Amino acid sequence: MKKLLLLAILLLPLGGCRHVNSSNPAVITAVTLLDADHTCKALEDALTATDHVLDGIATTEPDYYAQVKPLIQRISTTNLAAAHAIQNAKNGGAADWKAALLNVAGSVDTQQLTATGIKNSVSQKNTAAILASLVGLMKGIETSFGGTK
Amino acid sequence: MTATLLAQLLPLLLEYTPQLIHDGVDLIHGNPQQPGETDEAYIQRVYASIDADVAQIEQQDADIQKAD
Repeated sequence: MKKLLLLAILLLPLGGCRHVNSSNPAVITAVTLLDADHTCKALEDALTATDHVLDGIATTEPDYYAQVKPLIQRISTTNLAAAHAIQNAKNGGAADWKAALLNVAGSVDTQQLTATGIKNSVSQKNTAAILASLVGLMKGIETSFGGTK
Repeated sequence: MTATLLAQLLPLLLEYTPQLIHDGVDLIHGNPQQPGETDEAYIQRVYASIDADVAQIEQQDADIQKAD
């Protein structure tokens, strides 16, 4: 199980490195937006998994829960805004989807996404693993879409 | 206590690990144009998948924002 999770974590930040076998600008735009969309989807899945893990330890680790849950909610809010910007661009709108996506990467200080503070060692290890996928994805946004933070 | 927590957390990780792997594969391979598929048909397929993903993200965000 840990190997699978590690594989998932390793795969997630690798988006945006695909070649497009077309010179049609409309196809290139569609594939670029699809890359961005897949990034948002992967991030939201990681957020959902993290949220469920947090819910599982809410009663045993209330201080940690109160500290990290708002961060997860904030990332999700900005991620949804990015998804809507991508959808707007797809529909011919003027939304700056790339800025919206980079805003996700900068929505929280990723150093705050740590399992430090969880008293139970098993919970700490499991939470650390799922948070690693989140942080990997957020760093992947910066790498793939040109962020600086 | 440890066994209880482990019993709670393991199913969650098992539940989401395949989805995260699927997302990783999506990120690497995307949704390539099939042989014989016209550009127009491909773009429509890509844009339909974006709409579906956004609808799912909206639902997931609503769940995350809910008070527990």
